[in-house]
Amino acid sequence: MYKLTLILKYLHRKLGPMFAALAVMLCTAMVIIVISVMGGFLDLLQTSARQLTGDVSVMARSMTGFAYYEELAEQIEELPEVSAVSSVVTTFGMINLDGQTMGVNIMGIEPTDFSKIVRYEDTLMWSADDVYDRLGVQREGSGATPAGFDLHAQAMALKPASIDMPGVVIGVEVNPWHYRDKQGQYDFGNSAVQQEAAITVLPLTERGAPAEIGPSYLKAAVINEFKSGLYDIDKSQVFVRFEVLQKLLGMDRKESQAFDPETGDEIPGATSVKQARASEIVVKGAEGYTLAQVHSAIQRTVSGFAEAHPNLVAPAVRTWEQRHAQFINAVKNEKGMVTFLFIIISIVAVVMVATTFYMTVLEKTRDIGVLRAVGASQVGIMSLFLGYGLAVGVVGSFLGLALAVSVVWHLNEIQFWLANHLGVSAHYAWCAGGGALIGAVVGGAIGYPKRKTLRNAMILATLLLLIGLIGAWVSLDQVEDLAYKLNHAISFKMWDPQTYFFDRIPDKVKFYDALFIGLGAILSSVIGALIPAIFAARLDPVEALRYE
Amino acid sequence: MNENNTTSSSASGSQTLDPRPQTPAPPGSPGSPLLNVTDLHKHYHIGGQDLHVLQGVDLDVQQGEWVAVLGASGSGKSTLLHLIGGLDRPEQGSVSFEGRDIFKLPGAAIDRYRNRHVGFVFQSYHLLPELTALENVLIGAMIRSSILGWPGRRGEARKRAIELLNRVGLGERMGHRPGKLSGGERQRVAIARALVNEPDLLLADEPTGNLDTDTGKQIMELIAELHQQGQTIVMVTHDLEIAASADRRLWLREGALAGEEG
Ligand SMILES: Nc1ncnc2c1ncn2[C@@H]1O[C@H](COP(=O)(O)OP(=O)(O)O)[C@@H](O)[C@H]1O
Ligand SMILES: [Mg+2]
Repeated sequence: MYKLTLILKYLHRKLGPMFAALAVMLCTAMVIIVISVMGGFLDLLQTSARQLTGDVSVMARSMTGFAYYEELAEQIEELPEVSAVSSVVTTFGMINLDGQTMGVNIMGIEPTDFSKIVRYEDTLMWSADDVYDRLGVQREGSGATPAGFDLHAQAMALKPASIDMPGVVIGVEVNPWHYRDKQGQYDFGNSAVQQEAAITVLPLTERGAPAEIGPSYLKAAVINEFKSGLYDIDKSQVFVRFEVLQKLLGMDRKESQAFDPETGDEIPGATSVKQARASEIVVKGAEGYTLAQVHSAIQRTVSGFAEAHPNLVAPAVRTWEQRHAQFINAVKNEKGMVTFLFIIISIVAVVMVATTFYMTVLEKTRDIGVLRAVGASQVGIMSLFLGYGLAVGVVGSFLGLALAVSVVWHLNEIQFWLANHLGVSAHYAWCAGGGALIGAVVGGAIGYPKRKTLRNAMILATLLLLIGLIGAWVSLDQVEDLAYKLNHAISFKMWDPQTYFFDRIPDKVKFYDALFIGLGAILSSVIGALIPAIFAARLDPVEALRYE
Repeated sequence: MNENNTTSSSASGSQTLDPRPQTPAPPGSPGSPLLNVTDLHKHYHIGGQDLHVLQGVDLDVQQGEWVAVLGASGSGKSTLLHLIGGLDRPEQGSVSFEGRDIFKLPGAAIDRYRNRHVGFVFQSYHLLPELTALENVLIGAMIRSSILGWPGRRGEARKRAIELLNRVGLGERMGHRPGKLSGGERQRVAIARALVNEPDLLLADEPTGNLDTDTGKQIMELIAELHQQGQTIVMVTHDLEIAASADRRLWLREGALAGEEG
């Protein structure tokens, strides 16, 4: 029983182990924060990658695409392992928005089919109401179908004079006028909806040479913007309708007068056909099949297709994991590094606790002798210090958990604050005030056994509070302008969306991560306390009593 | 076995005619002694030198007796007391409590012996600074009880601790920590602590050594009072005046005990 009493006494009367608990807290918090962000990053990357490419892609090996794609798409769709397919055309090109030209990936899609496989519909930024309103047209019928979902049809259906042209949906960062407000939100007012966009692509012949007609040019109207959350995609992707892009690239089916290959003469009545081509078939696997099963079923179908068309270069079959292997492995490696960091930090915690506890045992040597004299056993002394280590670990890891959770949940706000207020600002004055309040509380807590210390701490805290209030008052009135300039000069972007793929820092703490790390911290504290505890247990009680 | 020890010790004593205390039981006190120390040897090795502190100490203490051991500083008084209390181990000899050699008991049983049968009072009090006077007194009872048994025992133990503190005149200062108490008050708390488990044997190591004469006297009055109530006491001191009220005075010289006449 004495152990519990002493542990509780020591916990709030000894400063050393409080510092150990603080160290444990910081270690715990740090690892949880890093693991949460890295883990969240990996999860986000994986889901986004999967959502953006579909489960499996059947991809042309060449930019020129592959023919008979409709036949192949039908065969694949019939597989029980497959729930949906959609053909797409992709190419590189340029988009000109109000005189600004950007290089982009252009994807031609069948919006309805495509949306069954790839997260598209819900990435659209602006609601149908906004768009219709901007275009100044009554919408036909009701329903919540977002504008731009059915690109061309809708654009044509609207028929305002200004947009009698195909629609285009652009990535939100393609629009050069967008910027995010304080909450990181985009504003419809800056959107490119209704603007005319000029799209330029370079059609290639089936053999890959530039087609005779030269670059093709398309005038389109921006009818919506999308935000996938992956900065790279949002910065470089635009969507148009499948047939529009196919035609623009000269990949549609063409019939022409046939020529005799030897004489070069026309063969009357005969036509030569250029088959339509697509770049890719995106596939969604059916429920109940693994990715590998879906992949191999499609692979078999593609092999059969290749045998039926010996002149074709068979398209490649790749899963989303294969397509994004590099990203995913990079982040996985980073997660491995974080695990390594966790081990190092745990060792740091062990050493921290071991040192403080060793000091505590030395300080308490005589008391240990006394406890032995009053009848405490060696095991009892050992468990006293192990229990003390456990208590320090529990306190430290709970505080660390609380700190980590509050930091991670507010990471984006913190990032925003750092980016905008790292400099002298009114906030600092408020901080001084807050600091004084905290100082008063902490001072009171530490100083309460000694009245004099308490009084000094209170006086100091009050002084700080006064300074803080004066500072706040002054800075609110006059320093704001200076602060603004300084902020601009020394702003700090912890999370730059251009370096990372996501525009928001992952801000979820996983329960099992936190539990595991918290338990790890507690275990580290107990291990740290082990050697000092054994040392304490093995002290000769007589020597301990004589110890000065 | 223990009977053997007792007889052999008295036999060797009479054979060698050595001025060792034969401490015949006071007339009228029947039966075997509460404590029997036989041929106790203790060496210390410092810097290659061998220091033979106890060179065959023999001692019998009867139930209810107050024995004072006198000796110069460094003569080995504390060493002897630590051995009697089972805090240390001798190289040779035995300490028998109620007929059982404590050094033949397993470690846990020696801890129990210290906890239940012996109470230590030290020269420099040795209170735990984080605990209040009451908690310091209770510590022995807490050690005795497991964490699950404590709720059942707590009330009784507290009652006894409060009673003891009242008895040593500190009823008003139970909530004070040792830092707030004077030397005499601390020693009273230490005495109360030693008594909390109703030990058979109170071991006092120069209990007035750190106190001024008046305070020392008060402490001695307290000890005398305890003795009157039947407490068996072994006290060591270098001060003859302090030892005056004991039933019996023995001198520790050259590692052995000599009787009053020696
Ligand atoms: N741990 C030890 N190592 C070496 N010598 C010791 C040790 N403990 C005590 N001594 C020596 O043993 C002798 C007896 O010590 P002690 O029992 O404390 O004497 P007393 O209590 O009579 O003053 C002293 O000379 C002391 O220096
Ligand atoms: Mg001594």
